Amino acid sequence: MADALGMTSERRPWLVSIVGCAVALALPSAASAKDYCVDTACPGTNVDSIEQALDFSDDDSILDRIFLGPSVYTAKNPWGFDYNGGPIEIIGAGRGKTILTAAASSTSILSLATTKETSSIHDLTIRVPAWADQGMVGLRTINDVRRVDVTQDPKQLKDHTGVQIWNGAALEDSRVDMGSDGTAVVFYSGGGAVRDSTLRGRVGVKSVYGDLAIERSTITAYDAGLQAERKLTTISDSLVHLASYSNGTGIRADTQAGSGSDVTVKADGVTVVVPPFQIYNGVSASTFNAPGLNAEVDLTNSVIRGGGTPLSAYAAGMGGRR
Amino acid sequence: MKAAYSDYDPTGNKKLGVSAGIYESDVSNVGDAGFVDAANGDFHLLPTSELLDMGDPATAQGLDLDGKPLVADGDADGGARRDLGAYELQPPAPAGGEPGGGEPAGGQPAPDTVAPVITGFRRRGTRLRYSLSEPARVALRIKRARNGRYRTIATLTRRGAAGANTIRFTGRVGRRALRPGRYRAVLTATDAAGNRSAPRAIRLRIARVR
Repeated sequence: MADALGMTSERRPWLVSIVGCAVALALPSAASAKDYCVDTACPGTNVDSIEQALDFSDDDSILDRIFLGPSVYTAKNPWGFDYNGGPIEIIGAGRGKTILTAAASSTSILSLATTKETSSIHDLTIRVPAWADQGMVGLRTINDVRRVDVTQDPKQLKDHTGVQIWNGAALEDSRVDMGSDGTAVVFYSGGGAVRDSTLRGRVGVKSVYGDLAIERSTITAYDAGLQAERKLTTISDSLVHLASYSNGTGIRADTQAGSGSDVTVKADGVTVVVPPFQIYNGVSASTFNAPGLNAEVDLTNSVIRGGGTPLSAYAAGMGGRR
Repeated sequence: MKAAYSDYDPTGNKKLGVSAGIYESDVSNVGDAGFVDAANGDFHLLPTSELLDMGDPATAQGLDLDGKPLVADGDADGGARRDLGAYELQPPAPAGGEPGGGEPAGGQPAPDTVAPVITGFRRRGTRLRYSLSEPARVALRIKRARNGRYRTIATLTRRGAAGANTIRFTGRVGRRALRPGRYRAVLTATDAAGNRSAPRAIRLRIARVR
């Protein structure tokens, strides 16, 4: 019996087999890892720009890789290089060799929000351009970052943020230098980790939602080395060096109004050095912003030098403590 | 606020509010921390720092800010215990120089990588005698046994010549007479190139200082 396609029902199993084979052959290709090469020789596909490489990268669950050559890449979009597809690895040619930047009016330089487990960015520099607009962010990511420098041109009038991290990502073996005005690293929900890194900024690390671990890192700051606002932040085997400014605190735990969350900092093996003047604190815990909550700091194996107040505990009202 | 096994000047602490508290245990205030070069941002500890071996004895092994062992016998007094702060002083290089000291390049004079050697460290009456293999600055750390462990209570520094040397020690540090008890004297020598000797230690018992 012939059907609408003019084939007999006896022949249809052959068609199914042929189509099945074609699909089977095609699928591995669609779901396999792809490499894209920008200004560099690599085994993958050569593309003209980072934007093109990001456009070509899949939304599937297989890791794609983008290799960047030693060059300066300026984002064309006002929000910088932006990607929120499937897992991706961005691989530079080395710090100071592969440099990502953007126009001064951009909101950020690189934003990555991909599948966290396998995505990463490493071996490159992100540079905030001169006279960048207020609030520009060098790198926003929920993905791990290794061997990356985030710096800014010294010609600035406004504040910027070096790195914003969500969802437990880690910043490792990296350097973030935002001079004396910007915030070096901000951790939002999901916490994360800083390891073996060097950070400089008006605020070194801001732990907004806690669940953050800082290990073996050097923080140079002008207002606060570590500012914790919710839940638990740990800092271990690290140096917090407060450079001269109007006043400041090496490590501070401050409750936040409306957060509904206590804040705790555990500092173990930390050298805290602040300028030798009365207006500087070494370590402080305060419930000034939310008197009903608790702010606590546990300090062990640590040294505090400089400043008028090594330890400061301020409990507003009756509810707060430490 | 809780602080333990930490060092700072607690007289500056401030607390404000009825439920504010600062709880301290095993806190010290040695004064000069003994940083290598604080003015230039080097906060490693000198071999003479009072912060050596002052950390929590229960600290597990790990890595310090330099990625080196966190619990190390930096003052080579026979017990590995963590120092206070981010940096752990590592055990001194063995006499004979550090690895990598090899042949000088380009005809330059070879750098001095040979650490001084202390021999014959002993007490004779009120004098501590020792010999040095080369001129060096020596640091004598007096440690008192307390609760089963030794804590540095004083450090004396002297210049030592190559050969035999003595340090007079009467049981006083400045005008302060040491309490009767068991002590340990640990001697280290650092030459002009910064090479540090292996320490030598002897036990002392102070009965009563007149």
